[in-house]
Amino acid sequence: MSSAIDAPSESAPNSKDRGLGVLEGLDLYRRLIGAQIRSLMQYRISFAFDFISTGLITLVECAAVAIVFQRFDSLGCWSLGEVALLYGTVTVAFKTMEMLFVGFDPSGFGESVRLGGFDRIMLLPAGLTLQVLGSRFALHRIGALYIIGSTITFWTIDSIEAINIFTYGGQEMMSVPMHIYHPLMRRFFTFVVPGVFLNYAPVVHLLGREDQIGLGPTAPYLAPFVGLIAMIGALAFWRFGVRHYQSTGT
Amino acid sequence: MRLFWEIARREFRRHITYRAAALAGLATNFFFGLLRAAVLLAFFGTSAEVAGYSVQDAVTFTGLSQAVIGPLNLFSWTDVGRAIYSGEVASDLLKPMDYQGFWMARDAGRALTQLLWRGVTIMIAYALVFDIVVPTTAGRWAAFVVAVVLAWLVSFAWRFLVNLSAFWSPDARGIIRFAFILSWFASGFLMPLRFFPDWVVRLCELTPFPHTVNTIVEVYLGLISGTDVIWALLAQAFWAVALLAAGRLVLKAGEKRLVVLGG
Repeated sequence: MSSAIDAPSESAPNSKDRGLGVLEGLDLYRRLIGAQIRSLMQYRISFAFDFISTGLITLVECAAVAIVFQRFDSLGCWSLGEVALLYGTVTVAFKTMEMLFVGFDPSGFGESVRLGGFDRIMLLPAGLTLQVLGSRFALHRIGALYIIGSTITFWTIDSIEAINIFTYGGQEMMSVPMHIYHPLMRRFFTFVVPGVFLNYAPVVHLLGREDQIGLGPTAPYLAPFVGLIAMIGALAFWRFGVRHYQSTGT
Repeated sequence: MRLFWEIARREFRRHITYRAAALAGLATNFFFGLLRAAVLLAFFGTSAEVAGYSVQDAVTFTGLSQAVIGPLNLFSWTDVGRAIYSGEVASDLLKPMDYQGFWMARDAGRALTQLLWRGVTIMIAYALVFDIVVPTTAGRWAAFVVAVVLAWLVSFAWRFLVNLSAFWSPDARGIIRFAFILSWFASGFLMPLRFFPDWVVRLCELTPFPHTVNTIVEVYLGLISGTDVIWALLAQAFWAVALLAAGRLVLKAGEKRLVVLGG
């Protein structure tokens, strides 16, 4: 595989540098996703099961918390409706992310690195990032974190369960009001993984509640910028990973 | 018996070598435990006791329920289903051994590794961070150990049973996933069953799931005592035997249906 790594295309794994314009890139992405959706639809019952069980997970999680609300008056002074808004926003955001970025899901991507599927993708004349994005599409299911997690698999080969702390852990953490957590954990999800800006700050603002953790008046509006910076960072790391990628030899 | 003992031992040795994976799993389970503890602490607020749980009990609950994720395989287990799909099942059925016993031995080895690597270590980590409940009498420790073993048996028995659906359905993965999702709620893993209204608890008790996590937690915390403990352990034993027997029957029926393509 070393010859492929020396090829000029590998050092610039985005569609632009491969001679594809933005429009062609989008068109290719649309085709790849279209093929994915068609293949999913071939297994209708399987798809229905996945669809229902994903709904069931959300239902079961919500039910457990909602029922417990009857025993207690509030969750850190927040009512059930207010917590539901937090849960809803983070769930919708996370599932949308999973849908779009599942190609970068570390467990699946780790396997393609291990089995050499990624080597095959590198040989094709199209942007790597685009191809991985288009490699899978989940109709039922924080992009930047997935990309980082997948890049790490270049070195670890196996996927790392601990990345779940950042992805699913972040989702779980953002489902309830942030002020209930220990300041150390809050700082982790403010500065290391900036999840606090994604839904807590805007929801606090929306509900007209007092900002209990001192994020400041600009915090509700920071989400797009934080997201952009995280994405740029993750893509830079991804490129670094691709440049230093040495196949497993499979 | 000797065969199963050797299988369990090898499986234990195989799993115990994955130290990095165990460490990553441990960190993940522990971190989620911290999140869940924070949620329950916020729920309690200033109240000292709710539905028989003290604040200390509630925090210990989050540690204990995270600690049993590994040993009881709470999240997913499709090994038998995959063996049926791949046809691997055929060669194992040809061997002069009991197929359910074979998987039980493998699961026992795996569960023991998980118990040591993840279960015990999470509780130690919890004890360092929180002021958790620790049983003080030998009797309660003994009941707890029996409850853990029986909970594993119940857990293995239902997991094996739902995996056998792969003999009939090409969508067994979905069926298995369903059972697991229901188990998170009904086993008292997501929230202690005592926090639910009575009618919800009664619904849960129609399933084997409360006899896994919930019984372990209640015995450990001393929420049930005296003869109630004996009854709880007997209920676990009953479900274990019933589900293992059901597994054997379904396996027999499944074997008759099995057609494996050569190649």
